[in-house]
Amino acid sequence: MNRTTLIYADYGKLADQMSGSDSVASKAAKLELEVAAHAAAAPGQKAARAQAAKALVDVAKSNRPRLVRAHALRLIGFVGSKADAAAVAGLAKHPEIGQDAKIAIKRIQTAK
Amino acid sequence: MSNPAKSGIGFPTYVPQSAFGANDRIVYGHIGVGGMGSSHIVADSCAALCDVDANHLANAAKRVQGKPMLTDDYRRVLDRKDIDAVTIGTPDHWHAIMAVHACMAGKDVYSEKPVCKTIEEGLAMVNAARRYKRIMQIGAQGRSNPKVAAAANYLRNGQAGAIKKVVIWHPENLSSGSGFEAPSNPPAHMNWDMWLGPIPYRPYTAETCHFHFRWMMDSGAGFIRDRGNHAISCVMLLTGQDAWSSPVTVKATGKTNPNRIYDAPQSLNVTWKFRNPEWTLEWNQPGEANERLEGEWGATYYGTKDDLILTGGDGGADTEPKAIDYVPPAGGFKHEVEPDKVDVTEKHRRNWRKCIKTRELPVSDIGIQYKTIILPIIANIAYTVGRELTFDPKTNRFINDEEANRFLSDPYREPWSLKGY
Repeated sequence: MNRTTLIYADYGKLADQMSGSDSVASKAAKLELEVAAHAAAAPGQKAARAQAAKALVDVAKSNRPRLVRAHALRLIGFVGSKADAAAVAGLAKHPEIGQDAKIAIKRIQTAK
Repeated sequence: MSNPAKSGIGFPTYVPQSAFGANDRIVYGHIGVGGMGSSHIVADSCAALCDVDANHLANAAKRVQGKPMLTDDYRRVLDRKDIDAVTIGTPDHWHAIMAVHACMAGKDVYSEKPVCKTIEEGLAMVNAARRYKRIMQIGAQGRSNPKVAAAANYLRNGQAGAIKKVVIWHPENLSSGSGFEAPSNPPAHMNWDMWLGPIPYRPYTAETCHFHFRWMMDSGAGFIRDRGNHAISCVMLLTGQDAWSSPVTVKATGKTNPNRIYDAPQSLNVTWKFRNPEWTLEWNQPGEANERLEGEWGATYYGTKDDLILTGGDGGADTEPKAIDYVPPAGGFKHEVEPDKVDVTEKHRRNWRKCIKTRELPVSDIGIQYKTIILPIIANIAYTVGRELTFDPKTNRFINDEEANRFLSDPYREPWSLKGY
């Protein structure tokens, strides 16, 4: 995978691409989101990580398809802060992505 | 890492339920009876069969004497006081939960490889086996393979000198081709929610269910953790590194197939660098077989005086004549395998059954196999985060990488927990 650094708006664009009906493009966007989020969370990249987390929180709270929002929540679990966990806490009772939100929150809360 | 065995749990400690009776008969429950799990069925001593696919259950039931309980919920198997031991042949994401719960319920365990998905799960399995005094054999049956033993005897007695490098070759994951299957309702014979169990929801597709679950990170994570469990188990045996304890650095690069749903890398190259002693292990997928001894997969061991090839390392394996003909010196290292003239997988199961009765550690004990499975687990993490990582086996954590440490456990979908059911 190529490591990339995205700006805030790119996360939304990739989430839209992942939401589309083109399976190949959707998968590519999913992977690119993952690559970018993990690259942003490398040691010493506080600002990029915070930006990635904020963008992913907004994707998770959007009205995009279930699996797109679930993917954003998964990544939030890895890159998010306790504030980001609080920001998605309201999704924990969501009938479709509630479990994904709980997993993300637990991963953040148990991080050392 | 947390220590699940020291935290609150939902079970008392049981003694073996039947104490094997007057005729030393072990009563089994078999969990996961499609694929490899079906091979572990003991037809004349089976009290329960469990599978979330009713077709698997029906096929397995035909092979068993009497009328075992049939269920799609492993907890009902563990509830049975007359069952002494369970075999677990489910997809990867169930191994740790079932094995830990089985120990809590007083059952001895034979669990298929790969050991587990995460570091937390592996530690929980070790802790559960020790705390509840259970025998836990992992189905990395290379350790019961006479050819593997011959190679181990050759190398461990210094015939190749100090081993400085081991190179594993393996074909790509079976995730090639193109096309995305549309999600559908699960078939009527499948309890899909129970199949998913602890992992995040995903819609049912046949291409991510039986067998092919291996190519999805949540349920499999590719050949490196699947066959890699076998291959690396052999490496650690042959190099004498079962108890490795110094930090290891891992770097991994790979590529998924963009035209299939699978997210595990179809091709993957990994390098682990060990200290004390210094040596290097490589996983090359795809990689080239050593021309001296062909095999679909295997490893070449490079020592300061000689090198040696071991192909395979599960039920099937081969090595070079110099190792097969080698006789260990008196007092030298000798890896023992069960002497019975049966196939390797049955030798491995017999070793487990023997240890159930003697209460000795089995040849592929969870303690050894946890140290093995650390290596593919951290390789997949290094691949996913895209950077070199250093893992300390004394703390069971990565050094100076907060995000990587968040991969050491995977929170479960409710209601699943390692603490009990």
